Amino acid sequence: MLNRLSGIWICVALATGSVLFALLATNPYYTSLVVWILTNAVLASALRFVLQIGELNIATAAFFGIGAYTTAITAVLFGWPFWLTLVLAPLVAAVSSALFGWVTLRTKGPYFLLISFAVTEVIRLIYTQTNAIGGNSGLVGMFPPMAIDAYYPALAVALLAVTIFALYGVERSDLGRMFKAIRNNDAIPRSVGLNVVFLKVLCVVIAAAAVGLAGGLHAYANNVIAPADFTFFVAIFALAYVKIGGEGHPFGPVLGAAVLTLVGQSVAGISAWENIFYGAVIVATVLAFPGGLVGLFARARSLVTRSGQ
Amino acid sequence: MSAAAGTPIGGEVILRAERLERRFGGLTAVSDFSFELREGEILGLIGPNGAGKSTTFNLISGFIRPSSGRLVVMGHDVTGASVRTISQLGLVRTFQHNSLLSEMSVVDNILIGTYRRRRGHERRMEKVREVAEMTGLAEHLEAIAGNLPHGLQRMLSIAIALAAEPRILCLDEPLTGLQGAEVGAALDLFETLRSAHGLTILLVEHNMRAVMRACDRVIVLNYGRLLAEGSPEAVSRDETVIEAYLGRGR
Amino acid sequence: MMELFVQLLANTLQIGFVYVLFALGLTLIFGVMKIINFAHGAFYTAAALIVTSVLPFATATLGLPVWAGYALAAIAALAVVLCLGALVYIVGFQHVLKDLNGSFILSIGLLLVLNGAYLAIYGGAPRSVPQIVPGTVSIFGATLTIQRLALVIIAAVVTAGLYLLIERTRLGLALRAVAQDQEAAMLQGIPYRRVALYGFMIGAALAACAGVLMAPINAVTTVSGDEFLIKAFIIIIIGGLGSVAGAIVGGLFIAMIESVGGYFFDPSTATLAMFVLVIVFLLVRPQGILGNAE
Repeated sequence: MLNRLSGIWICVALATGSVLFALLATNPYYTSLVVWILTNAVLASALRFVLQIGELNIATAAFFGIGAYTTAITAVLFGWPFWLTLVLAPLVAAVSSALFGWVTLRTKGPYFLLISFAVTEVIRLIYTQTNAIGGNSGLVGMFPPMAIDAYYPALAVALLAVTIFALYGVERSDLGRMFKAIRNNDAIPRSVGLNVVFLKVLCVVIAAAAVGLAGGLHAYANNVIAPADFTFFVAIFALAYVKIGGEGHPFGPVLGAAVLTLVGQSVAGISAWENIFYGAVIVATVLAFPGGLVGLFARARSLVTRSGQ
Repeated sequence: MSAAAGTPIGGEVILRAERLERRFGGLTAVSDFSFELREGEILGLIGPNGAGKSTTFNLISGFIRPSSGRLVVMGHDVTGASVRTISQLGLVRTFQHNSLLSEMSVVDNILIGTYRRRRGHERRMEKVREVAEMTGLAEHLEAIAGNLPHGLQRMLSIAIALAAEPRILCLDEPLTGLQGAEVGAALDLFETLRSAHGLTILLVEHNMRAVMRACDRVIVLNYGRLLAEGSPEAVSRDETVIEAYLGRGR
Repeated sequence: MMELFVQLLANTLQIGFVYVLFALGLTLIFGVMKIINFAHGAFYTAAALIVTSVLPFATATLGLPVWAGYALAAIAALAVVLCLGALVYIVGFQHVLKDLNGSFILSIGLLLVLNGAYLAIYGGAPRSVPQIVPGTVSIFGATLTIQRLALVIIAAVVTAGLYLLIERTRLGLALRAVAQDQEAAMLQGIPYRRVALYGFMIGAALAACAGVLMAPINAVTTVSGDEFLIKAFIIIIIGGLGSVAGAIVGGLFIAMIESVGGYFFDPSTATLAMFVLVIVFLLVRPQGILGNAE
């Protein structure tokens, strides 16, 4: 794989480039596309983050929605200041995920998968049933303050990029090592006194804070949110980005999100073929290219270096 | 019990199991099992297959809760306590199967052991190097655990436990699959840990010669009950013990 | 009062047995292969859609009476789904046996492909089937259409048939053995992959039965099966992942909540109640009513 340090600088360059693009591009379609790509990248990265402890957390979609709704409710219904509504999004998502995790992470595997699925649907149903927050129609009117409205896409892209780097930072830290150990064989960390349940919850909380922030930013980027934006399909697509980009490397979900979002734009509107395309790519990836795009690059690179010797 | 109790080596009683019992549905895996572990001794736990040795290990380390009975470690009543509580007191165990983080490097494996007790990367790495040196893994720090030869894998699982700075080390069949000189090296390690580092060791083993050589005292389990207790020589001559092993054919 | 009770009971049974068939397939697949097949609904949808096209063909082109056309359509649907199931297993699932996350992801991809294919072939408009058996019947003051009554009876027969297959035949024994302890079963000489294939095909066939039986009742769209899927997950969790009896009990239980809840409140509330129930269940008794603890 790429030398780690140079790899990081390349990512920083890409991130900076995206921010600049969002700042300078005049066509709102492109700026919102960049924000959308980065949002998907955060969703995918957060899903992969929880895969570190071996759990597939469909509720990632729920926490994205909780972040979005928190920002929307505090901005539109309470009229709180912009920065506060954004700060609250990851906080509320983190707290609710802590409760979720503490209660559910005692189960594993299929049970955790299904319960995270059920929780996502419950929360979405609650949104539709609660007229105070717009019911089925959702909430509208989340606008960034006039002063920064023009720069908002750049701000969003910057914050999203920072979030992805933060997730990467945690993964490379001791905490990340503990997560990996839990996935590999949780009896070992247990036997040396680590609090495995707490660590699993912490992992979910960190991921939830990340997507919560993304949700809050999404509310301002879109100006409107509705329960239909936060079905379990959000997590399913995030999973597709992770798988296609490559689960083995933190850049994988970002790459997958970028590629699939861009491709999706061109296939959009032809619903049947869009489904077939996404589906076929996922099937092909699972069966033939489990390492995803990142895995392909790694193989290609090792072929090149070997032939060069 | 029919063998004379061996002269106790070691000091205070640091672990006492009183009438431990564990039932699984209709099956009683361990029944009315009492024993003591004295500081600084090397105690062997032996018995035919299915005698309840693994269950006993799980009970004293907190991986499962006793159905009845009492467990006292370092003077604290830890009956039914969690693995965290018991390991915090200084009791760390290894595993017979799935004893490692096979996808991670040797360094990372041992590091996991250090997180509870040590702060700061430098101090942790210091412990990692110390433990790796003791267990013969100093040359293999970057290797992936699952790729190590079997003998080193066994040593690695001990290394992980040592990294957690235990006072009581519970080893679950540490010698399985070790060849010739490796066995001797492992036994030397146990003796060093006891004499130079003050550890107390509880050892489950099938390798009888190793048990005879390394252990101060031996307890024999059969059908979940205490069958005999005493010095290795005494226990090996005990007729009920011999019969338990031989009479186990179906 | 009696009428209400019987009406609700009738409603429960007629939704219930379809849920049961659907959930049985899902739980069987989990039991044998330890995977969660998110594309299970696609088998249901395929069968229902095939019925909507074969039946008119049979009556119009072949001149068969409606009930015969329906029978022909049912056979066609089952045949197609069995082939589809075998294909999907051989190409895909047999490579991800017992890999929960991998098989889940694969099934998602599969679902998207199949949904897209259905959309391309049949279009998005709801399709329906003419009434097979006309008339209603009155039991204790409650009214049921004969068609729905027939549906319940057929579904019950199929369920009973499956139960007998699981409990009394050698294949059923192999399925149970493999579900309980795959390695031990293999040591006994049971060919795991082949048994898993049969299990998968039976599961798909059960979903297809549900689709065939429901086609005359509800309009069919390309996502009909997916709507059932979520409820089926709830059912197998409550009944116990892998438990056949549990799927039967769970299916009827969920149907009861739906019919009672839908009558006294509204469908959304009933669905919400179901979700909350399953969450509570997972936390208190994760193995379900009749499942085995891990």
